[in-house]
Amino acid sequence: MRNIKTAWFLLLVISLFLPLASAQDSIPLTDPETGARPWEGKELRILNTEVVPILAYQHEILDPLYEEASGVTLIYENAAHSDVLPRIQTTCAAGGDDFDIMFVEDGWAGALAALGCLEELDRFYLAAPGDSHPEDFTTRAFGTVAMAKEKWVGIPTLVAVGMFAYRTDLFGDPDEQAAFMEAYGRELTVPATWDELAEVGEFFTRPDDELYGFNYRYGTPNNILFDYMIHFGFSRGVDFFDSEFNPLFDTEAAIDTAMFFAGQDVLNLQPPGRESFQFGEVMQNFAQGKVAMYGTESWAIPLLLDPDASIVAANTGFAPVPGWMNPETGEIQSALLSAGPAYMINAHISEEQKQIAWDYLQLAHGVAFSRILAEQTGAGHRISVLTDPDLVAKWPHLTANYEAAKVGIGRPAEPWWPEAENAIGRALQEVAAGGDAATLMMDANNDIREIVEDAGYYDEGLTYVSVEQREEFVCAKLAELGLEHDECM
Amino acid sequence: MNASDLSDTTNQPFSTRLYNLTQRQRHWFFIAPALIILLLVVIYPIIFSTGVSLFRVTFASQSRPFVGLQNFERMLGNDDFIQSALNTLYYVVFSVSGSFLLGFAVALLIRRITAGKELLRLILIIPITMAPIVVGLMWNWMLDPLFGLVNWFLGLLGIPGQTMLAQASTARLTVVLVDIWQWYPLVFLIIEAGMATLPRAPFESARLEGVSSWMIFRRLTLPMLRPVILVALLLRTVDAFRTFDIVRVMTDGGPHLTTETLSLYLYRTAFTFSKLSRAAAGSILMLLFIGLISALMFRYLYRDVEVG
Repeated sequence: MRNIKTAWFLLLVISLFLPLASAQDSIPLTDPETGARPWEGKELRILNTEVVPILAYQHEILDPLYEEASGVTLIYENAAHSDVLPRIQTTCAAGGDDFDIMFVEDGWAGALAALGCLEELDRFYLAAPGDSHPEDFTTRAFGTVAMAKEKWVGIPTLVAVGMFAYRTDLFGDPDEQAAFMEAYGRELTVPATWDELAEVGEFFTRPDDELYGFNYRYGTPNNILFDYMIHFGFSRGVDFFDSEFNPLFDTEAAIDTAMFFAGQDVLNLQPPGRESFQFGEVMQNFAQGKVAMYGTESWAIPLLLDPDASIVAANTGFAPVPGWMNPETGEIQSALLSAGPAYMINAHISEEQKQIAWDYLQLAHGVAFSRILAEQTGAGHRISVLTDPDLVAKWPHLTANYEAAKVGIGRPAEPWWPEAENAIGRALQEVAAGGDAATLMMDANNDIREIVEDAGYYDEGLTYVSVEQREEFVCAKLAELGLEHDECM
Repeated sequence: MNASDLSDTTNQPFSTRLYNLTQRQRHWFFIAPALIILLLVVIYPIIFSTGVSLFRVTFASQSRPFVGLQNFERMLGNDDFIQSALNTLYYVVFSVSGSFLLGFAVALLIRRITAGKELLRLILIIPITMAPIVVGLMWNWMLDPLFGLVNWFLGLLGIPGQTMLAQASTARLTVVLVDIWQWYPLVFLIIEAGMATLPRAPFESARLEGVSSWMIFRRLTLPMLRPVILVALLLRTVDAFRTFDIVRVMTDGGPHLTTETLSLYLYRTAFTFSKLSRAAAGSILMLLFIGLISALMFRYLYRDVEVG
């Protein structure tokens, strides 16, 4: 009898605690279909930067939708791009909770993960996946942008892949075509190789008419390295490191690429001021009709197609980035950098704020809202958007964007990467100023080796995470979450 | 109670001695709040930074091993640090002398104007009322090679478009010129205020005796304004040494380090590259550098003032 009473008592206790236990496991989510607004009246603080236009479009289009659906007030702090990493590092190192969600570039994730300030997202997904669908990104993109090695820490807000914008009115003009044929003995086509790029660029460079061949970014170490790798390096076979973390910027391919990309011949086909141009200036030059071609990234597409922002919006076409023709095989080698920021949750905020942050991420940057963004702006980074027949019919560039997202190679995500990036970027800037490419690249390579050595990587025998390994990390993570992905089959 | 009474303490009770002591030392009570704040926000960070510079510290470091003077050696052997230090020196020399000469000249010229002086003064001091970030952004746009006002104006004169901020040969000078533009009003205001306090009698006597304007300026105006000039130069020098915002906005230290100042370099080292101890070593070196130059300036300028 006494045992029965004890058993009943235990059952009663367990039944009292069960709802609490299950409440901890589940996360209430906003649902526009059912009208659920569990976080109504709450606030969410986002540290952001609007360095590229798609982020501004997201802010303008998606955030009001989320605020309306959820009743949550979004408080944005927009910092300059170069101020964001220092701001996050100092706040995180102090265990600060000044913001709930932060904009994190793929190259920064390693440094921030080492600081312990990135919240892993697995438990949120397992408790309430909502509309997040991590399997809706290419494995290359997800591995680069959303993960810090094996850990899933973010929802990509954009996946930047190299694209090549050009003026369809110029390339389609019969007079221009005839003049080009006469000058170069071949048809005027959008360049497919570096040599063609230089040739067509030369043809369109007419300073008296304020028209130049093309435009790349040389303004900051971060920018110049981006364009060096996105548009030229990878296609020439340049890579960042070998498997033992030996930097590879002193190879023949790396030096050749530097000589081409930052050499005076190519610089002279670009508008004056090119040595200092950053994100904004190169985009503005194309949007104002000052250049015929523009080596860009997918994030620029909404602005380039927006007639309110570009006077050549109606005459803008997109093509794959020109590749390097291997003289031995005659094959055009093509490879791309894949990069971008994700929104990540600050590990130092309260559990409730983390749940609200997840609510925002899964909905505002989930499948349904991404489709809305793509419909209105032509920007897409999820597979469901990039392959949607209706959207592709409306925005034909999405197909090229998808292909690029599948093959994009990410930057290293090591804690010391920002410093290494700065070293190689500065060397490239000096090449652009007329310095000797071989000497500068070799010096930069030595600097990077020293940075890696300082970090103890050689002593500890750490190995560089290759592109294939990153994909393995993604597939393993998706499997852990019970998800399947075509690229993991 | 006179001073000798206060100092004769041998046979006084403790309470009286204590009272006398507080009377003698009461100035400490007045300066204590300032001293405490100074200790907390200036002296303590310097001591802390000096300590950090002797260890190996990053944002993420689990252990912080003692490395002695290694961080200082690394900094002094670092080409970027040396380049930034030289850039800063260039910046200080040209920006301070430029803003001083311009400010002084404007102060002298405005004295000759009779009508509309107040309005002109108001217009002249506009640059100093603007935040350096705003000044940097504004000039960035003005100097834009394709869309900027400066190049548009040069185009009207038949001069081809210039890329002042993109070229290593001109970027440093351009940033210095913008800095001069922003800060010459400070010198102008200080000098003008100093001139307003000068006695009229010596100047009138000199004029009556037929002394030339140049001699009046050299023998009267300059010597009498020397303390004011000293203040203006010191304020500008200290300010120029810690330049950060204008450079950050206009060039971010580029093209390839030609405009990188020490403040910007150390900020990047600490907060972007997470090399906190190395940046601390650099900042101690910067402090010594500024201290040395300031001491030399003080010694030279104050000696002259005392002699004069």
